[in-house]
Amino acid sequence: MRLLFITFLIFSFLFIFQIFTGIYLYIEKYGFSYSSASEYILGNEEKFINPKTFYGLLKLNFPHFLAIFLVVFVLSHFLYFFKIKNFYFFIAGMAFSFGFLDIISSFLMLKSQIFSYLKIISFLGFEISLFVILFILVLNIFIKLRTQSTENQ
Amino acid sequence: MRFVVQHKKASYINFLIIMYSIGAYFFIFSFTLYKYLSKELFPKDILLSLKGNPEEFLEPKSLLSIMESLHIELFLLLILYITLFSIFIRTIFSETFKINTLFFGAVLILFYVLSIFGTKYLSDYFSNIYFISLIGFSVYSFAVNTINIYCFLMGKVK
Repeated sequence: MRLLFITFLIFSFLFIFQIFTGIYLYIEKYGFSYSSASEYILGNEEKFINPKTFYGLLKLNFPHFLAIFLVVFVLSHFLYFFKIKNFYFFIAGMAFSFGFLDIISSFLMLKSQIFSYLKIISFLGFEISLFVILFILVLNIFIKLRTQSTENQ
Repeated sequence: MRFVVQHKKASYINFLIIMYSIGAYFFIFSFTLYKYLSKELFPKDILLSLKGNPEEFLEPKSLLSIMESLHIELFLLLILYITLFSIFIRTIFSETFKINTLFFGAVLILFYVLSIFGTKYLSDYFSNIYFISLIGFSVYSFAVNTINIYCFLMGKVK
């Protein structure tokens, strides 16, 4: 069991790098303002930004449907090895929902600019819920490893 | 009856693990081949790709472009890492050996990520670390995958 926890711990640590690359790409492309997010999708002639097509968004987003759900599943299934609390359902549900909304909002922005707010909120919600899952996981692992070493002594 | 059911269960999971491991070999080979063909494998190639060459009119790779490829590669490498190790920890080796192997893989991934930025912003020397960590991770994951297959075929699992 100790080995399993160490594996989780290392994976969680390396996964933080993955999250940071995602945040960087989001800031570069969408940004956190209403105008910058809608510009990326709808284009801006003055800034020479081409508007995105449905096909272009689909090409970019279809791997994310698998990747995002897989990542949330992998991270939150680690919590299965600890005492399950109601909060775990809530936070995993938030991560799944925000992840889904984050992808789908790019398509909705093609219809209306107002969905830029949804994009920003869902991205922030997704990243925060991932960090919360990672925090709970690391905390639980440390508590478990400490308890095990105390019992062994 | 119980033995038959459990035996069937064990054979089924062994079958799944071996099929997955065969797929993992293809991933490891194709990833290395992709790096070679996109001229991002050897130290000289990665230097040229990241820093460009004005004489050959080659543009340096932008940070956005680096991040885009790293975002995908890191995801794939981490999924490979966690799946290989979820299998590896069930083999009969000692816990110390498993922990050392686990850390070694993590260090290779970490060096691979950091050496890209090191080569771009600090020193050309990091291109050697990039090459060693990339080839190292390929060889390392190949070895772990082979050990997994061997142990599961021979029944050397806990």
